[in-house]
Amino acid sequence: MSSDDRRLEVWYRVLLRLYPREYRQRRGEELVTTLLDASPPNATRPSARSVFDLLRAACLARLKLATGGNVGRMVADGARWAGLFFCAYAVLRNLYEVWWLARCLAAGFPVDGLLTLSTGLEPAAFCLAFIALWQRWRVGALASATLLVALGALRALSYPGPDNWGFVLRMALPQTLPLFAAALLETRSAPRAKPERIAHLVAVVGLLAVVKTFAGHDTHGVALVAGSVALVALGLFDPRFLAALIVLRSNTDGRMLIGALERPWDVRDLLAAMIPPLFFVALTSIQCARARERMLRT
Amino acid sequence: MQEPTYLVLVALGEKPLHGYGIMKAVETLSDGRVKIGAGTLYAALDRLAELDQVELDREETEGGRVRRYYRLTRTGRQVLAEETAVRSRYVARALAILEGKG
Repeated sequence: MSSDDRRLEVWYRVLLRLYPREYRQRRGEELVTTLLDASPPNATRPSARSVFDLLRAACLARLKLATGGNVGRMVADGARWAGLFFCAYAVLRNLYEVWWLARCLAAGFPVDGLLTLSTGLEPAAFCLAFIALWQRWRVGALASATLLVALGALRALSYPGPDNWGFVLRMALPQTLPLFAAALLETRSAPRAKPERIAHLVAVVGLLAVVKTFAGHDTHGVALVAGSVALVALGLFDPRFLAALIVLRSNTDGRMLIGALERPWDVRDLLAAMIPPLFFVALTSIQCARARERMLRT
Repeated sequence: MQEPTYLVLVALGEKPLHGYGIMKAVETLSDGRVKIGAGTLYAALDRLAELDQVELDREETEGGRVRRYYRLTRTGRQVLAEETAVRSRYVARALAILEGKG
């Protein structure tokens, strides 16, 4: 073996460090042989093309190992549970609003007709969306989401002031996007056993109810943080709780992000808006590590 | 099925080949149009092995270098035949259109 070949081999061995260790142990020597065979004579360093090819393949190998070989299913599963969770929460929230409107009417306060109609129909639309997602009716879920956007627009028209459509963008769309995303992705996920679905859903909705009851409208409240921490802890065991956490926070974080943009000197809004994505990244990493361990054990 | 994967199956359809042998065969089969890198090749081989379309034929060590030869399984040969039939139909239709018969 010439010194050029040795130098090239060292280069390839360094590049192979991009692959997961387990992959290197299984394929490393064979890959180096093939790479050396395919290199032009007297080459002392790898071509840009082979570096890019190895980088791409190594990234895919790591992703495959981290997600147990099915990235799409993991994402689709999370989105569907997030959508279900969001619908359940939205039903409760809207029922509360209906009750509040009923109290206004009973007390003789003038309540806008459009607002009453929209608020009254929204729980039913969310129920439809929930059933559609549960039964994996993608078209039904999308239709429900569209209906909800229309109801959001109706509600915006009933609010006083010039910024009605800004209200739709801030409130109705962020709240409906998780449902759209879940509806689009859910059909890709594999079916699960019904008792497992019910157990998770009850746990998630229960936690949500507790958090919302105690947190009220104080987005910086201790209860909200405590609830988030509880979901994070559960997220260590099941990634769907992470999705639940994101949806829980999505109701307030859109507004907080806008607040952070309007008042950049107030760091609290920005921090509050950044917490869910940071949690998501950190906990997804932990989930990936666990999936990798499971895969290696099998 | 993507073109490189199809060409890998075609290359292995003739005889068992090692990694570099497959890369050369793919290049020859495609008249130099498709060149697959080693990283892409082994990712494709892993995927095909998971699908039970390709399996290890033998392993040779020469001058301290490991060379593994791969071959098509029965399933792999069947998939290759089906994919080739589909592609042949497309080609026949395209030719008919180009010749003004479509």
